[in-house]
Amino acid sequence: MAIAERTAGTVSPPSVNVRPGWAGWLSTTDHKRIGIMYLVSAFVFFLIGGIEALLMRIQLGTPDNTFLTPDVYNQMFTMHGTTMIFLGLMPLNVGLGNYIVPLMIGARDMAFPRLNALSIWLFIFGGLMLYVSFFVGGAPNVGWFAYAPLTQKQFAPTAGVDYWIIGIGLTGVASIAGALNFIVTILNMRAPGMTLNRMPLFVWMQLIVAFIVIFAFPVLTVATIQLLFDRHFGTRFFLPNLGGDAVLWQHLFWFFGHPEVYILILPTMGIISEVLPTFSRKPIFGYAFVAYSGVAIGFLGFLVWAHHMFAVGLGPLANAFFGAASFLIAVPTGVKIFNWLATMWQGSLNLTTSMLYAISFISMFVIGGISGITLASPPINVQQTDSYYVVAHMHYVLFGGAIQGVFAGVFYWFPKMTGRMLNERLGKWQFWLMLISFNLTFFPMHLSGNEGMPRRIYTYESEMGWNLWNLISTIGSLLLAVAFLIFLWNVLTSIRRGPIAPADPWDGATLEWAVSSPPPVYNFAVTPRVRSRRPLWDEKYPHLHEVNGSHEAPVARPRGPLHDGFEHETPAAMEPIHLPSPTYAPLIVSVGIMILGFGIIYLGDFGLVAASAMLVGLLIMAMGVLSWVRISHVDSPHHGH
Amino acid sequence: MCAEFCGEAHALMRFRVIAVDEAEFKRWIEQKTTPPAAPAGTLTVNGLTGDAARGQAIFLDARKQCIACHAVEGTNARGQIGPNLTYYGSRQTIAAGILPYSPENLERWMREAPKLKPGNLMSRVLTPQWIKANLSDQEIADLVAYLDSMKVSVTLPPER
Repeated sequence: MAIAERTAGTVSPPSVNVRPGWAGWLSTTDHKRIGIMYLVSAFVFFLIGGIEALLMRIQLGTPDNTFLTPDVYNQMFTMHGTTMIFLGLMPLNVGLGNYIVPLMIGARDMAFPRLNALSIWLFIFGGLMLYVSFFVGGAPNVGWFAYAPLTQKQFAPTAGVDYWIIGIGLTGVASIAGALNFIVTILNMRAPGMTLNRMPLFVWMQLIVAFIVIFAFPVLTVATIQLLFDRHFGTRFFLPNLGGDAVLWQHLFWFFGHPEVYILILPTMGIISEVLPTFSRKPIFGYAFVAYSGVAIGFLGFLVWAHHMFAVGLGPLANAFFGAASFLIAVPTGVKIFNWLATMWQGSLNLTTSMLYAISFISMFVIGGISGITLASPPINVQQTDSYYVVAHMHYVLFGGAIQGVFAGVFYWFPKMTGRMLNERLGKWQFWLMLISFNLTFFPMHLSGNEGMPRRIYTYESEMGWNLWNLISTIGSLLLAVAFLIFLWNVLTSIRRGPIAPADPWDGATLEWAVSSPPPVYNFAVTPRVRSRRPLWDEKYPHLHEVNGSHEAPVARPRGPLHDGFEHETPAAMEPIHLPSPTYAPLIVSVGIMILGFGIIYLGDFGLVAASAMLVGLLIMAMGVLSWVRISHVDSPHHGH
Repeated sequence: MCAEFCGEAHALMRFRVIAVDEAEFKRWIEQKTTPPAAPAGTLTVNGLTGDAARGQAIFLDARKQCIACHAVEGTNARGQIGPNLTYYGSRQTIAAGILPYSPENLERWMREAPKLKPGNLMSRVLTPQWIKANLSDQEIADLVAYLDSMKVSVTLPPER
């Protein structure tokens, strides 16, 4: 029972039931620990995805290279895309959100802590299942988009595609559960006074992304299950020669796939909307425009999916509609960019590594955005689709944009999460090396693409004239790897020997900086009260409250014993702090679901064995659910005390 | 080159655009959509003379596995996994541009498909051992003669 009493007068830190060592991590329901688990596991997957990219770049560095066989090359680009999107970028954003969102809104945890634990375990097991495929006949080799009919059993006979379906399925369930958790947490658990229009922009973007996930992911899940049935149980959803429709797959996939782009980029737009004002020492310019243009992007994101399909031949009307809708998205995106620029304008810029990454995000994202606008035009698109030009565009958006945004966030919040500062000198080396080598890797792809180099080819002939651009890209990618090694070294040394981080190292405006670094398990001893969009600046600079947009003047007063800097409403302060107990139930349920998944993969080929595995999985899942129900009952605020 | 990812040999796919006048195009379409006539004639490849009619019988023999994957219009070969081989003799290349078409290359293709085209599914069946046990040199020559016999009469301009 993890209930801690706060006695009047002094604040005694609540004693919280945390198991020591590994058991503490395996049984945790603390959003901060789960956030760190997301970040660490996603970064490991991210590095693996990076190694896959390096292998591809080595293969393409010279013409007619035989470093990788065609089949291994196809496995590499399929797994690179799948890994970076589902196991790298998305969970990096979820990890930052998991850690920071409850702190930013003044909550003690996510709304459903055990569901949160289920999400992290399903994500990890889903990722592991995808990688198991390498050892049982070969990873999926049909591209992360898995176009029909190449995915059918006769054309892709290994179990790789099945592992892809189930692996993506598990991470998809994790994402949907996580998104529901974010929505309920953000809508219901904000501190008193934090209206929607006072929420930090990072929280806004996470809320929008959660809604996108809820609408987009089920479509992918349904499509992949249809594919599973096509492969094993004789349905013909995507088989044109038997009455199905291969283009249907493309519609379903991109109906998920394009909103997915915004799932990846919007949280990082939220990050830099926090980082830029902090290090410009100015409030964000046009808060409402930044917030609601995010809503507009989230909405429009569902109306543009067929711009991935201009070459299919949907007809001029459909192409015109989806082209126009794609152009339209440039409007809210441009609004954001001008607001960020205006935020920096005449600010007192503090060029920390985090800030450099935020500025670099804007410039690289603009390049990716401009190539995106050209691709939104159907006639230009038909020329450039499936060429390296698209590879360049997409990496400027997702690497130059999203990854750099994640780094801005990691350098910004690392002190909060670990209690140690990262080394700024190494950080700047990493930043400049990464910026240069990123451009070295991906800019030449615009050129090779315009010269006709198709995507997803494992080799090319010397006479094609793409040698130089490919060699430069390969050299760039190797330098990029060095930048990541510098980051890894920085993290590993700083976490042990870095300077101790104060609670508020950057003079932040949002609530996470009000608590110690790292925050106590219960986050806030007393729920803070919010009067403006910048509650901590209100507290630190009460004379600036009008600039801050606060409607009520805050009361200047000495800081409390926990230095959270907030006045405490006495009746609320007397409430015991209620935290969920640690439990293995979500882990057990996830193990059960994973075994069930293995059974499903082999049901078509090894009926009896697979069916027994499914039964075992269901039993383990049922055990987990029972223990889950028990612990929820024990933990209920009305039980016991 | 092939734009949309199509499998293991994606990097090797080549397409040719052949321009003809409209009347000739219409005649070509008409021929292509009419099932080929009954095979007849012989063809000598690498010293062995194959017989087209015998070749068709081998092709349609379920034990020889061809029709498990391939289709030829107007016969009971209706396989869906591999390419449709109707009017194969009028092709200009083998395996989407990997080899120029000739009866000699076709014979080589049947024996060495896995070496010539990565990811070729036919090589799962046509291993050297399987060929040794199930297809004699004479039978391969007959098959080549059959496939080569299916030609459309519209001649296409030579490749530039």
